[in-house]
Amino acid sequence: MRGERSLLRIGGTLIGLASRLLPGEIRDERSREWTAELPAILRDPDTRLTAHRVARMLGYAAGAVWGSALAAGGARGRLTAVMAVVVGLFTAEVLTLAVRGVLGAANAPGDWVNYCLIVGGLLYLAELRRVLARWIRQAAKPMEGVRDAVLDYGASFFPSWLLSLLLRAVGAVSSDLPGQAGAPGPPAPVPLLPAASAEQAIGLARDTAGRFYRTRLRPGYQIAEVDEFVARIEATLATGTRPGQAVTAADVQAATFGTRLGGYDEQVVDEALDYYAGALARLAPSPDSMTGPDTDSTDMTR
Amino acid sequence: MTAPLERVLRAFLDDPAAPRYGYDLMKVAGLKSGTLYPMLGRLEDDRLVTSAWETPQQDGQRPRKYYQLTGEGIRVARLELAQVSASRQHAPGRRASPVPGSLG
Repeated sequence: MRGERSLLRIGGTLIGLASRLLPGEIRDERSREWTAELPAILRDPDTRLTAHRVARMLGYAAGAVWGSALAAGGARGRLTAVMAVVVGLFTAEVLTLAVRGVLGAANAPGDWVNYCLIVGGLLYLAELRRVLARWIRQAAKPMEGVRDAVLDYGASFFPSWLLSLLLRAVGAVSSDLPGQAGAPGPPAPVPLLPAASAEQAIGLARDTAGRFYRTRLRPGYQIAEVDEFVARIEATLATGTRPGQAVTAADVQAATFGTRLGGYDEQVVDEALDYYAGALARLAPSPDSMTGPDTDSTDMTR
Repeated sequence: MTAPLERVLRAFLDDPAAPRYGYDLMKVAGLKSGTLYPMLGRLEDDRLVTSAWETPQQDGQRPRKYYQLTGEGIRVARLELAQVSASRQHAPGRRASPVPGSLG
């Protein structure tokens, strides 16, 4: 195919960018895997049109970049992408104004508005440069520094109501905002279940963001409620039973949660809770739980 | 289970013995690379999927990496897909209209 070499080079550049976003231990392997797929996509016998194959190959490489950026931190990654666009547009606007100021000052040297535009633009650029440089210097990895700087700068420049609108739009929670009070974020998922199959099944239910897969436009379970409940279950499973923290299989079956848009997917949570209930029923009964595991919920009806 | 995961598991179960390249899975499951690879990574971490590099060929092509379900993966995938189709036959989940604020 004509131009194959230069097309592969473009794809390879994107793959290089994507793999740099990944953690070190999987970076080389993923990079090799993706690079080997590029010529295979270009020569895919099932896709007849050359343009279609080229588009697929470039889409594949671009998707790798996007996926790696999001994998850097779920909702936080999405927020960074949106924030980078907003800060980028704002910077472009300021630059346009500054250039207009320079042109205006050249045409009408007496007009003080033009000088204000120039000074304002320069101050903005200097501030942006300072923030970026500081965060990158402090971060262990440059890409994380850029991410933190964009988030921090966006938070300092744009009103909080606008940010919360953005957060809702990308399906992120408000605790993703840096520097916001009382924002510990959802606890990291800790695989503590003793039964291997239950652990795997719950691992399947988890998605990139948060503990469970989240809905976008449909109502889902309140995230804080589910997180707190699951944390109590995991504490019970990890330590046996502890007064005040103990959760029984019957509790899990009786649990109900409030709903909101963009909460946890109800089916996913229900499935995971079924497995949790099974694991809890297999625990030895304790003084403050039921007298026996008479409610093995693995065969519960839906 | 998420819809993309369901499609990937179905693609694998079509022929569990066949080695699957990432691009093939994308085509069959209709997913973007940015969705598929993180998912394959998680499945591999859970030991439901195993991967290997194909043996280098003569014509100078780079070896590709392929994926297969493990024995445990086949078992879990069948179980999960069966659960999904079972819960689809019965209407929505049992906690469909919960009382707000009441925890178990």
